[in-house]
Amino acid sequence: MAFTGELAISTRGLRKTYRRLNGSKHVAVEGLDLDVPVGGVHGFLGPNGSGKTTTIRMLLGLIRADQGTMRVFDQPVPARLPDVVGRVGAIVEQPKFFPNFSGRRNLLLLAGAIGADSRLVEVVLGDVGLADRAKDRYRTYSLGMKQRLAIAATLLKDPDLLIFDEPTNGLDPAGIREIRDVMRGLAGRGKTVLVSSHILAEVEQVADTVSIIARGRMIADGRVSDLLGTGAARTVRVGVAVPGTAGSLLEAQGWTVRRDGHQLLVDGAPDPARITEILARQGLFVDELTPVKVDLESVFLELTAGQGPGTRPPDEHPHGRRAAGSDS
Amino acid sequence: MRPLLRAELARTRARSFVWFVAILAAVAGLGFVAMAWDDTRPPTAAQVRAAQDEFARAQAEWDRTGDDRVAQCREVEEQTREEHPDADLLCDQLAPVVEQFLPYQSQLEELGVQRLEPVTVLVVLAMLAIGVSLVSTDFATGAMSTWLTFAPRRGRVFASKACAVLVAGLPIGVLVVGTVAGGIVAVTTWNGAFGEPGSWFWQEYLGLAARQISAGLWAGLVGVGLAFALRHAAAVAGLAVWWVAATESALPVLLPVARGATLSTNLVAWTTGGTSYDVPECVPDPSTVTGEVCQDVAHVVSTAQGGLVLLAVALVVLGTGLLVFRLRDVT
Ligand SMILES: Nc1ncnc2c1ncn2[C@@H]1O[C@H](COP(=O)(O)OP(=O)(O)OP(=O)(O)O)[C@@H](O)[C@H]1O
Ligand SMILES: [Mg+2]
Repeated sequence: MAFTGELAISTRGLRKTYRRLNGSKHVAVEGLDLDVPVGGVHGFLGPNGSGKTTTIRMLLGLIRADQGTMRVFDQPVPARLPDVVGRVGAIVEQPKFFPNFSGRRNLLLLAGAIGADSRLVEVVLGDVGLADRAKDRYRTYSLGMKQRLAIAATLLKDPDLLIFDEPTNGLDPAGIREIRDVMRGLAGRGKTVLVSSHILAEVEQVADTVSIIARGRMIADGRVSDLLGTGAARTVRVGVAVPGTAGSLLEAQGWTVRRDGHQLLVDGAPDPARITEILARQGLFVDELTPVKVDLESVFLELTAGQGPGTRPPDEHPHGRRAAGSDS
Repeated sequence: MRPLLRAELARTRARSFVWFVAILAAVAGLGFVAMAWDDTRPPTAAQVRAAQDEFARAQAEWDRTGDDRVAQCREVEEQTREEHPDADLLCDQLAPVVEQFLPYQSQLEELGVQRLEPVTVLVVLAMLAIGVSLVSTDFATGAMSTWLTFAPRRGRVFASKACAVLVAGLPIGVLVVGTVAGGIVAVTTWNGAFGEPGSWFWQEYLGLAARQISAGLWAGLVGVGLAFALRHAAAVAGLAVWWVAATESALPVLLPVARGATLSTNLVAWTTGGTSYDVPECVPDPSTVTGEVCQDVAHVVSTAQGGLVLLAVALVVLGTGLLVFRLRDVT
């Protein structure tokens, strides 16, 4: 298990096969063990067609799993879904509301149907910045407004777990930022947010933990910081007056050192502070020490290389790498 | 369940298709009102003039030959009375009257039921379409999947749809059947053909209207069940066309006994208070050319039997719909 502690979502050996029109079978999710710890934002990443939406639909009981078990807040789903659904707010792909009703009316209708307090409607409309367009018909909404309304709808239940499947699809940068803020705000209030995306940059900034899947299989999961550490070796840029001497000293520690002009690029140092320490002991003073930014994107691309749609199916976990993201 | 139903009803009310079909059916029903109006239309001035001309000519003829014809009549009457002492040939009523030359004006009592009966088809088709659309639209737009993420108990979602079609179907049925039933009474009265309908007439007429409304509700339920089972409106339409062609039309031709099992027979039996159909039954008879003698035997389908068959069909279709809905993926 990748995460210790309480889990909001936990799946084991989850498998889903779709039957194609020509009768052949297509494995969308294969043996997926997904763990989402309680609290914080959990990114659920994977290229297009990797099975993110399929997994979420199984969790919500919209489609049946062929194999495997799923638990949400420790309740087996879909068997006990009705009991936990009150704690879960979800949007899957592009949610569809009633086109002839205004945004507000749609929410009031939903609130009535799920037994939520109708006074919450105005609150959640404000939360997603839709208050001044709430009286317009849903069918006149832009993509971004529809997405916001969907998020507002999930907030009606004041759920403990929010599942957002590609919530920022079709949003402009300002909209993306707003949604991100909403997600952070929710996490800040102690909620668990599972957000799926194929756009890394979007999730990297909000997610505490991530799961990366490709072709229906888990290829890496853990804390973002750990994944960044394991994805590409951590590189630190070091600026010193005498790079030659400093380079030899650092190489003597078993680290890889490259010259970059007057500076050094050091790979493999467990902690940048150690570099300063070693050099200072020899009277060499560091005038620059910056970690070279490794973004999730490059980790993601590396991990999922050759696993996008239309490529050859990979062997079992080709990279053999699973970040052991301990919560300690 | 109650909150779901309330939401479902609000959505049903807001569907323009529902309104469109309901109004279309009511307007189409006006055709039967127009027929009743035509049946009971009082003679036009031209018809009256023509009748008077005819009458004048007949009267002139009568003035010439009337006495002879009455005498002739009496003679025949005398002869007939030798065998049948009570015979009365109405020889004193042979003189022409003007009504003879005017088109016959039916009375409400004679035509009301006959003109109202075909409305069954209208109500059934309209409610079927509405029932199907309530469900298939949600599948087509993806609203079903969104709805289920909020209300995952599929049995309840199914039940709320089924109840919504009943609650919405009642006013629609009343609108369509009421338009025609009320319209027929109104136009016959307007045409002065209201007559003096007996209580038996009202019983039959209003009973027919009520059972037509119930047949509409039945069709709405069947529509909901079929749509849950097949999801696409086009698939339901295809099935309906196939059913009408194969089971309702072709099968009884090939197998006359099957007529008793068709939906049309049972619908007619339920709405009109029983019906019957003929099945030729043959016994071997070597003395004839074909080697057998055939005779049509009437089979009666009672109101209750028709109602029970419809009920059974609705239960089977709803059960299938529920089963499929509970088991199949919704994406
Ligand atoms: N209803 C369906 N019938 C058949 N195949 C399907 C169906 N839905 C999804 N698939 C297939 O299952 C695989 C996983 O699809 P899924 O929608 O779960 O991917 P995803 O990770 O959500 O992708 P995206 O980032 O594009 O949303 C894809 O290959 C897709 O073609
Ligand atoms: Mg998806």
